[in-house]
Amino acid sequence: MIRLLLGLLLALAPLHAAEESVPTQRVGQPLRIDDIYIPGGEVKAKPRRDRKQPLVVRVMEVRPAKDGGRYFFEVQGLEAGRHNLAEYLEAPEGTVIPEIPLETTGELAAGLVRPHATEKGELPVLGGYRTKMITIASLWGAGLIGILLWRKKKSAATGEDFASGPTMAERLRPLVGAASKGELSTEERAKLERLVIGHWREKRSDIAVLPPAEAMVKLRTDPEAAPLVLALERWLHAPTGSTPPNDIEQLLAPYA
Amino acid sequence: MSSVHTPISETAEYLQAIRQRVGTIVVGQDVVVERMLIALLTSGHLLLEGMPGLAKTLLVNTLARAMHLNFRRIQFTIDLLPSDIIGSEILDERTGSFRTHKGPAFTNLLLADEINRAAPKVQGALLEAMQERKVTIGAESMPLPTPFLVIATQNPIEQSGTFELPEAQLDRFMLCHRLGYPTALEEEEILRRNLKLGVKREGAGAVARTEFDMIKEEAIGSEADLIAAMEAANHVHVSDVFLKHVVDVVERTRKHPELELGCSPRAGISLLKGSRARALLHGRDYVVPEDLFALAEDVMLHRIRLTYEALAEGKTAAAVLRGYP
Repeated sequence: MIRLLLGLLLALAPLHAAEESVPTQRVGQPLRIDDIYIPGGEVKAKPRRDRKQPLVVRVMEVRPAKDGGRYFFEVQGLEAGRHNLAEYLEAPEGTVIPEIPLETTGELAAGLVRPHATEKGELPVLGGYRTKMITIASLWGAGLIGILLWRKKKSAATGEDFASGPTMAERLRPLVGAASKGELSTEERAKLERLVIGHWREKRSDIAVLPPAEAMVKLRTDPEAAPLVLALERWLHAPTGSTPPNDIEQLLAPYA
Repeated sequence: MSSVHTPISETAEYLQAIRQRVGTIVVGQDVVVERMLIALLTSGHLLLEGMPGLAKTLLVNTLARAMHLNFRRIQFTIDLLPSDIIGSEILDERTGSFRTHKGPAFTNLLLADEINRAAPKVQGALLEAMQERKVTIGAESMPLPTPFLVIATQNPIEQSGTFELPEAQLDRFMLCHRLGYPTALEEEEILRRNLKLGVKREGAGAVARTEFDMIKEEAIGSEADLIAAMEAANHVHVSDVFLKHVVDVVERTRKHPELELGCSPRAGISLLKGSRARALLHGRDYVVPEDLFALAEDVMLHRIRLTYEALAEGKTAAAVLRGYP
């Protein structure tokens, strides 16, 4: 009876040991399988051709042994289940790789919350890089137009301020009056003459485009400009200095 | 006409008659004639820049005949010597002594054609004569005739093999006028006149007549009239305001950021003298800003030099002077 029990125990012991020795690891976690003797030529991991292969195999070390080698593997299981590592190895012709079982478990650790299933959603009406850029550019453009309009209004308002200031005629009146009586200094007389010439070159584009000498000829014959220009010539340049009784208001009429 | 007290109107009429006489021979160069008269009345010298064939020689020749003045022309070339202009001492084999041979500089109106083709030494000899109005031949110093006016020309298109006048020598020219092409109407008139020239008999044969054959021999007025006109120009009134304008204009060229070389005081003097003569030519006894503006470019443009920066930006001296951006 005892002998029978010992016999049963010895017969079952290797089976039990084989069941326990299957290395196990969770999906995605590295699993070391060390010191596996494989007789024959050198064994290599099969190259991965696609993403469907459930194991990722690396040969970490090969130690030479009698008629073969002892191998150290690192394996990552990508799909839960029982696998045979030998199927993912390649060996030279004539070499038979023994079965190397391993198991990949897909069970999450206890207490972890599973993510809920995603639901179908709708794309927003406004979205995407291009739409965003168009929106930003439009806003920028609108801002720029706003600034320009604001400045235009401001300059127009400033212009109104100028318009409400003294007119050219009002500015010229005291100077022309003094010039007609010879009461201005040389500097002031020179400035007065330049002021009048400059005024017409600014006011009239047909005079502004002419060379200065031609502009002067035109000014001396122009019905609007000539009276004051010729009067200034008489007062400022003629040797006699005679000042005919010109009506200053009449001379200044085109400058009002 | 008498001298100093000749009324302005009479002097202006005399000068106008000369302009009209020149106008009967040369078409459309009234501004150049005015510049020549200004130079003559103020004892200045004139530099003309322009293409060949613009009747420069004809113009000077006509003016000289109209004013009873002597006229000589020198074509400047690379092998010209100073003695070819001012003259030299020649050994007289019969007497065994040197006699002075006066060069073409001894004239009233001297046309120095293409002055920039001659070597600097020759240019220097002429410019010295222009400045001092006398020349030294051997040991003898001889005054040049009065009036003495040099009208030099420069051809702007043929610059290879030329000796450009340096700024200091350009400054000796009171005015530098740029001759333009005639307008289409003027060109038509030139051609019409040319058609009527015909031929003239010479000796046993005949030759085609040129514009030079049309120049009238009799002069307008006399030497005394010219002297009176010169004195009248010298008496044209210049106001303090005008002086102020001249000083300001000249000073601006010296302070202008785009000008490396501004105008010399000689430019201001030329502007003043030229304005006086122009006023007289226009029948005024006083100058006005129009005279200043009309002559500013001719007086100042050849006296200024642009900076490298302005040249690199493609600016011209005329544009800077006119105040263009």
